[in-house]
Amino acid sequence: MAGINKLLQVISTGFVLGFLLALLGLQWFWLEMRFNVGLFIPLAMVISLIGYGVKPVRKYFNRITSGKVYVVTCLIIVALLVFKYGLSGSQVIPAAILRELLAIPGYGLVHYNRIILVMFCLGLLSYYFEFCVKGFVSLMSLIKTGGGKQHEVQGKANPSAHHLTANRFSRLRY
Amino acid sequence: MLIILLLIGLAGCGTSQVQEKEGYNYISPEELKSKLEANEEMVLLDILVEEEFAKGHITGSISTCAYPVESDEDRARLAAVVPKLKENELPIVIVCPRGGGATRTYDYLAGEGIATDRLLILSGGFDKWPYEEFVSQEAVVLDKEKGEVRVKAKVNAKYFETVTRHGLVFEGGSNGDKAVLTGLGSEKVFHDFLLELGAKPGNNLDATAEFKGHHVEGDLLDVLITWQGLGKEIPLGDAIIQSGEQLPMQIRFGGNIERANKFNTGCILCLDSCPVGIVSDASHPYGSVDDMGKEFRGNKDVLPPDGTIVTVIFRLAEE
Repeated sequence: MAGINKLLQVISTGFVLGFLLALLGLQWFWLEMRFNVGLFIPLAMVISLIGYGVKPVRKYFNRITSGKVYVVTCLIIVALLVFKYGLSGSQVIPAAILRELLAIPGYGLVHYNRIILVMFCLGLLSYYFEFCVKGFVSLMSLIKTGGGKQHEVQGKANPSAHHLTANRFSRLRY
Repeated sequence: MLIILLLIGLAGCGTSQVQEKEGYNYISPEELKSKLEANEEMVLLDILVEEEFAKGHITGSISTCAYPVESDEDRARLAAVVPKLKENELPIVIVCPRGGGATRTYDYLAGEGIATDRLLILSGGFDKWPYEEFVSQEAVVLDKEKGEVRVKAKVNAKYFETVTRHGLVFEGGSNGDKAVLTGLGSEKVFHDFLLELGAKPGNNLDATAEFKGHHVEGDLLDVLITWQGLGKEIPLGDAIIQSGEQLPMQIRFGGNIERANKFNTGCILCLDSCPVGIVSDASHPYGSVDDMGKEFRGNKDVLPPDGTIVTVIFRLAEE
């Protein structure tokens, strides 16, 4: 379950980072006229997957796949869209970027907007799921060790209690 | 990418491959071909969407654009042709993109009182129709009687919001997604049709720096645009917003077929003088966009919404 959730985080983080790159690429007229800026999206997703899959770089990559980075990237995208294109343009530009990339016959902007929304929500949900699981494990640890104060006392008396909690957290950090 | 592909399914609008269902009458492409060759009287009822119909359909078909025949709007399009179908007792061959909407069309027409023994579904739909000699297209049309070339295109709302130098580009070209209007027909066919119309190309530009600042030459063209429901033709210039000084559009037949073949950009109409586009605006010299900062975008107050099929009309103008 945790593996699937991590994979979702990796993919959706790649998606939003790629999307931000595509949006920035769109601002450079020369590039936009000569290149499909939507290609930044699969490129970032592939790099994310490589980063996750290759052990030596995973520890660096894990810093990028955090809920904070994800939410901040999403907020930057929304801010850039609204300030640059307004509300009506914000419904067109992201979908148009994805349309240029996927070019599915018969699909209108509304369908591409749906795909983007689902991708963004999947990422948010996966990070929220991780947050909830961490909270739950932390709560369970506290209950098992008999509360904060007792935990502190026990910790002093028996350092292995601290290690137990820390180990559980480290396992969840993937 | 895998996730994106999976999500495509979630986004809806799926298409189903044809499977002949019991209780419906079918006709094979071979049978239909032999009937067409024998000039047998029949009604070819096409339900392809407007874009697909423009790209290709069986010659002589009645277009309804009713696909996928799921909404009231789709059924209303079919309802519009029912009185015509009831005028005679000819067999009706339903032509669908792949066959999925044909059974719904069949059911609808049967429900409207058309005898089921008149109704036939083309097996495999238009996708499996192999006989090119019985296919017509409306993507680029030469109308010698009216003295015009018409190009079907699709509105790209992306360029209502951001800038471009491309007015109309064939979707099969490398710049197909970079224009206000995405053409459904080839720029090469368009070039040949303009020649057949008697237009003379300028062929005075080359894609080198020494031609920067030069204006495209060639015969002047009136370019108009219209779409279903507009009821009139409007100058293309009204549909394009320019930055800075608003110069009247002067579209000229630049020609440039050699470079069009070489670069395969698909450019039909460029908004500044261009050594690759078949026609371009002589009001703005070559390099206006890249070097002089001129900007163009589609006028969303004039043009219809994204995805609407429009017809761009080119006529020889008097100088």
